[in-house]
Amino acid sequence: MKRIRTAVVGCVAGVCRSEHLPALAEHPQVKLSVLCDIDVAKGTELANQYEAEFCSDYKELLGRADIDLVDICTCDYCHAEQTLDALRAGKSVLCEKPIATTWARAQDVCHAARQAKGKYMCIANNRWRPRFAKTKAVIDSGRIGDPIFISQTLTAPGSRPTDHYSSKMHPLIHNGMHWFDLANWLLDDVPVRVYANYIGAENQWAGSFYIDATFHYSKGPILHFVENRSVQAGHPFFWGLNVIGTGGEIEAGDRENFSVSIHTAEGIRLAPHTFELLCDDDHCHRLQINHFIDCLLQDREPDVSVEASMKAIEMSFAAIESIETGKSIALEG
Amino acid sequence: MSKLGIGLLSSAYGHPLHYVMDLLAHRAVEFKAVAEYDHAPPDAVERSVACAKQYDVPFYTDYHEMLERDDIDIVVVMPYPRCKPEMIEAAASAGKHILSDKPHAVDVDGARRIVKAVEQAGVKFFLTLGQGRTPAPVQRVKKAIDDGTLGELKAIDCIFLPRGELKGFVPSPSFIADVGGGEVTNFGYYAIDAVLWLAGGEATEVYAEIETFFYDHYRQVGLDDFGQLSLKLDNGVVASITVGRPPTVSHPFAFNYQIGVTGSKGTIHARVGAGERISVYESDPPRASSDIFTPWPSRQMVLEFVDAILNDSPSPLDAHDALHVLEVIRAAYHSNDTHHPVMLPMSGS
Repeated sequence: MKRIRTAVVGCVAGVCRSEHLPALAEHPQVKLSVLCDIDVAKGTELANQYEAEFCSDYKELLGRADIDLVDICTCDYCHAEQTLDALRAGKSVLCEKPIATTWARAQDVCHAARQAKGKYMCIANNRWRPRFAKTKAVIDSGRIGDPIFISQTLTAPGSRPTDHYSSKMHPLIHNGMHWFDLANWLLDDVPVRVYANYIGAENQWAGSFYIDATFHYSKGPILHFVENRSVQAGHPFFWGLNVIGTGGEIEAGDRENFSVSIHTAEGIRLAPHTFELLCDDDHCHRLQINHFIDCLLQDREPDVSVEASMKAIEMSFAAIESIETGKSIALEG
Repeated sequence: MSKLGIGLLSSAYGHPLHYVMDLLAHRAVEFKAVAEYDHAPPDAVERSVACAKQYDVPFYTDYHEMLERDDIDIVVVMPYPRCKPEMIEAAASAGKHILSDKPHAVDVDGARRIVKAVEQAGVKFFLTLGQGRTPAPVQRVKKAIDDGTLGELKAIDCIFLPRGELKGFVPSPSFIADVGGGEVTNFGYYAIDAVLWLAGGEATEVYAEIETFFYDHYRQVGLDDFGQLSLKLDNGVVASITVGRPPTVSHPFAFNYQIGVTGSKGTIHARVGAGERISVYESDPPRASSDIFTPWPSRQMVLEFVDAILNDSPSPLDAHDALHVLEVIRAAYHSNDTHHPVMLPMSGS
């Protein structure tokens, strides 16, 4: 049985430990060969746990003939360089989002991925989240007519500034493309212009911020995206997704999907910990990783193309430009 | 004590009887007369005549005659909006207080004429936007803002999407000239006013995407049925407003009105229309249905307006408030035409 010999770069990152490593380790046709991280102590511990080799410099992996796939879970600003190095070394690459943190580097990745011997896919796990996948199926069935409006609302307390995200990187780059890819996929369309507002610390993934972006799509639909990181600690993490069609609506957000809600005497006030959101693990990362492994095994193209990831990150950069200039920004469409 | 007399000026557009009944709920108010105007639509005249008959009050074909009556203190102005500035000027110069449904004008110039007329005459003006401000969940949001629970305001998100096609509505080719616009105008009045009122600021910039998504008869005359607006306010607050009339009648909440406010100390989300509800689940055939009984709370502010006249206190929603809401609406259409944000006040508007 063929096995995909895999190296994981940035193995200490939280999403890697919670999602990537378990999924890869449990896949019968994956051999978790090497774990790599600049944190030697924690990385070595993880490598021992998964019975894999450890290295602290990803460049050591590039020349090895016994590595087929490089899975990149490092800091956002490392993604492009490491992807380019791995693709040029003939490896396939699975990379956490974002594809890159600059438009120029994203174009480099796109070009390299098209030319590469290996395959490339950027994480877009929202497509595999069961309620969003069902949303797509309902839209495609025609049950709500033509989808004309999507509302996406991401509400959560602000994050701490960390090296992982880089304090100089706009938050739209990290999370925006995640949601923009979902919208493009649901609508089967691409936007032609965006207008965005931002309140918060200037260009910092730190503390609280609020982003409001409106995209107009080539076939007419509108996407309204809000990322609200100005709520208080203890506010539940809401992922809102509502779709309005010419013949119906879909509500697929967290607010409509409480498995348990606890209401206190505070009434409608959202005090810390008055709500608990208890959802089953939907394994959407695992489903996307499994999909990519299948594509490698069967030599077929992944569902998330590099062009789709490029379009999503282009939307992030365009929204940032709109915030910085106060103007609406045209996209290629 | 003599009562305040009310006169209804036209039944051409809006909800004339609705607001007459709201006014009559005040014990200091009495219905005195109904009038129409030259070239009023025949169906409006029919409704006005029927109303006069129902309440046993005189009907005037020329509204100027009604305005000459000393026993009329409040005029309910309900012609097509394009006619309102002229009629409100006449009513104001006759010393009458004015209650108007939305839209109160089709353009900003008309709204400015109204401001000037009521200020010069020293009369009170009220625009009936209670549906946006007075629902209990919205009042609770206002309280959370006013008592400092939320801290300094940062952002407001408003969804105003009453569901279901307006039965029997057939827009004429002149509808936009007569009324000003489609649902971004119609429902936008409520949503924009509520957002500005909650935020306690004025809009300085408006961006909008406006479309006709749902109804062919809207499309045929160029009427919009959906809009997404972004506002920047002079106090630093940003706001988004989703407004329109989706046709989804199967949804249990026919009146989809939600407001979320984020401040430096807290967040509140209110959903209007989640009031009294009955759900029916049937087995054969399997079917689930719900009816929501949502009050349409226009009356509270109408009564406050009457009290404002009696006490000579400010109108709860005056001509300046109304002017600014219409400025935002017109800026939204202009933004949609140009695909760029529009700064307020608009030059030449």
